[in-house]
Amino acid sequence: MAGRVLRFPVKPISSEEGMASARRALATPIEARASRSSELRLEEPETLLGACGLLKNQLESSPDEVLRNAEFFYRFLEQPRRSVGVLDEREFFLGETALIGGTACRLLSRREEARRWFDRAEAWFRHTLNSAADWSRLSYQRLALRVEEREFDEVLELVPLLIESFEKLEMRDEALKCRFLEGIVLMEANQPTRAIETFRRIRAGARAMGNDQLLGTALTNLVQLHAGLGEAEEALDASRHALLVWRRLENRVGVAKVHWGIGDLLRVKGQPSSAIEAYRSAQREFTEIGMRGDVTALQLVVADLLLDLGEDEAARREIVMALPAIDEIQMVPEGMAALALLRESIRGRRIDRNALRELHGYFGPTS
Amino acid sequence: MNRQIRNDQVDDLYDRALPVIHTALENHYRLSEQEAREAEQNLSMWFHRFVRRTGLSHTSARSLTLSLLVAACQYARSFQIWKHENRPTDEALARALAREPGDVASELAERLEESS
Repeated sequence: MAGRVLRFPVKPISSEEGMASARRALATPIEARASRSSELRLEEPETLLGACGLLKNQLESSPDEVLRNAEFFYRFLEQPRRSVGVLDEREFFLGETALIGGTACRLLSRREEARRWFDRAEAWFRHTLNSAADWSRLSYQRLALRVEEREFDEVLELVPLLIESFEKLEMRDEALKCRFLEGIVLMEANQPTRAIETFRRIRAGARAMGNDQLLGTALTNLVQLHAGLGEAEEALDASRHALLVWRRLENRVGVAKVHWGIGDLLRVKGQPSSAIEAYRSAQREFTEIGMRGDVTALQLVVADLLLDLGEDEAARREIVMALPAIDEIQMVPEGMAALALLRESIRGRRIDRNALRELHGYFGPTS
Repeated sequence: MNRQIRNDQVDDLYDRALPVIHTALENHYRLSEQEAREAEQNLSMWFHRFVRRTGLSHTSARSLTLSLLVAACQYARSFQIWKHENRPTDEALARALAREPGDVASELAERLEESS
């Protein structure tokens, strides 16, 4: 007897039910999730859409937790092959969870893993209906990774092309986000005036679009830039606005980066002890969130200030604590030279300040 | 964008494209009446989720409609390839299946624009 296998119709769930299922799924311990998949409606596209949205919102505040969850959903959808939604939905969610996982790894400075996740996302997005848009979002993350690896020339060459793609695809938020990369490169290339202009334009664009996340990030970068120039009034004004936005969004990374900016301002204004306090406050936040790259960068900055205060032994301890993390985070080759010099100077008990300063440049507070 | 406005807009876009989709499913891709209805139901659910994917919040009605038409053509094509095990006996259907869904969708979009 020949017969056609029909899928037993399951009543689809609404977007509100999907969001509730996503919250339930994320509240369920990862080890228990797969066995409760039908009760948690894990194969429902609405649940997956809700889960992706929730994970993206938590990326900045709990990247390690987001990574674990993104990996769970990715593995769940990948094997055994599950029937999810219609058309390209399974491929889309596989690509999306891989992209979220890669972004979380990038934020955690786990760069090799980030690249692997981005490759996975690329493979799945090849089969989505809107692959140009999905690939462009992926390209943004890859460029952000390049900024962190200080490949500035490549970023400056590729950013305009990506902005053009986003504009053609009518993805205005994403086009504006690309301007951030441009601004960050200008910051890193020591062109603060041009960087301030760029971030002011982003601030205006984000306000016009009502995009608080982009607004907060632009303000935070303005805090750091004005602080670096010793422009106290502008830095404090931007920091007040930035803190309001980040607290509204419950974004701990944003708050920590503003504290970092305030630390920079106090340092430039010649108040090293107060600056160290502000840096420590940022460091505590980053430690709790698991952002090792930022914790390490701050250890080096604090060590530099301790040297200013004549506390050489405390500075040495700070650097010694930072070294294992620097080893773990894959350092770019240029940074390796500075690291070797610093390590050597620590052994000789006379810290090489040039190497120290060069090295914390490789971990800058880029938003 | 307000969620309710977006939902209403998506309903409106779908309803306006539906006659063109229905004609394409039945006449171009040779789906039966019942198969076409089932396809339309699935497409409606897919489209309402599609517009909520990241990055599409400012996408114009024209682009969203084109994505819906591409989806409809891809759905119908995959369905007929599966149903006829990639060996359709109907020549017109074979010709339809040989075309890129994106090309067919662009023609449908032009037709839709002309009619509105």
